[in-house]
Amino acid sequence: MDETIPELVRRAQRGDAAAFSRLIRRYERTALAVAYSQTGDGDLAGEAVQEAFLRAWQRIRSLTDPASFGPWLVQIVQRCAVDQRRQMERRRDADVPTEVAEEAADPVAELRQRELRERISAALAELDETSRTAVALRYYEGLSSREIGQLLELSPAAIDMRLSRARQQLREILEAERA
Amino acid sequence: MRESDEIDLLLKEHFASELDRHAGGAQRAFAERRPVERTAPLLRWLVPGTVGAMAASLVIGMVMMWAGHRGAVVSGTDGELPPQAKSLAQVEPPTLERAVAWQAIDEGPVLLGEDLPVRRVREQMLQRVRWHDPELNTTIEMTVPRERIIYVEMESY
Repeated sequence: MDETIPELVRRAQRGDAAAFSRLIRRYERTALAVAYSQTGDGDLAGEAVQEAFLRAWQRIRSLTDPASFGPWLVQIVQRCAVDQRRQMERRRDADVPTEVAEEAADPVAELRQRELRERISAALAELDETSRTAVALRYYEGLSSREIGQLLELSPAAIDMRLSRARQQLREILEAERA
Repeated sequence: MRESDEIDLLLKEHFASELDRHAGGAQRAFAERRPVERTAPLLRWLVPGTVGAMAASLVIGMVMMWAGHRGAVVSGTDGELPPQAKSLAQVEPPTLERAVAWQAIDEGPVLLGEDLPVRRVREQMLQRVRWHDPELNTTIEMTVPRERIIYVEMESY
C-alpha cells in the first residue's frame, strides 16, 4: 500500500513505530545529504542522521502540519549535524586520533581517490551553506529543483540559480587546483 | 565528455562514496535505541491510581471474605438465617483506613544520551491500608512504597 507522507506522519504521531520506520526509509538519503552539507564528513553525517531521527520521533507530536514533515526534519538534521561537528571539533582539540589507517589493495589508486575526495570536499566547503545543501540533495538524492525548494523553503528558480552558480564555482575551484 | 558532465559525475561519485555506507543506519538505530513511548499527562496519574484502587479493592474483598467466613461460623449456632446472609447483616464492619501519601521531587535538568536535555522528576508514593478488628483486637496493615522517575522533555533551542 502506498501511503502518503501526511498519513504516515499522523500514524507516527499516534505512536506507530512502523509508520515512522517508513518515514525513515523515505527520508534517510535526504537527511544524509543535508547532514553532509553541514559536516563535510560522511561518518559525522551518518551519526547526525541517526540522532536526528530519534529526536524527530520524540517530537513528532509537536508537528502541527503533517505535510511539512520534510522541512521540519531538515531543520532537526541541520541542528544535529551542527552538534556533531562541534563535538568533533572538541575531540580534535583534545588531540584524540580520529582516523585509522586502512590497508588498501592498490595504495596508489587509493591515494588518488583520497586526494580527489579531499579536493571535492574542499571545493564544496567553499560554497555557501544553502548552495552546498542544494548540491548534495541534487547529486546524492537526485531531487528536482521543486523538491529541493520545498525542503529548503525556497522557490525552484532560486534553487536552479544556486545550483548553476555552485557548479560553475566548483568547476573553477577544481580547475585551479589541477593547474 | 563535457565539463559539466564531468562535474556531475564527480559529485555523484563523491556523495555516494561518502554517504552510501551509512544508508540504513538510521533504521537500525531507531530499532535499537527508540525511546520508550512517553505517557500522556493524564495517564501518568491514571495508571498508579488504577493500580492503587485495584489493591484497595483486593484488600477490602479479602476483609469481606474473612468477615463473611467468620460470620458463618458464628451464625451456625443460630439457625434462623442462612449463614452467609446473617454474617453480612450482623457482623459489625471492621475499621478500614486507606491513606496515600506522595511527593514529587524536581531533580532539575539532566542529559539523556549525549545531548537531549530533559527535566528529571522523582515521584514517590506510599500507599497504606490498615484494617482493625475490635472484637479480636487485631490490626492488619499493608504498606506499598512506590518510586518512579519521570523525564519531562525540555526545549534545547
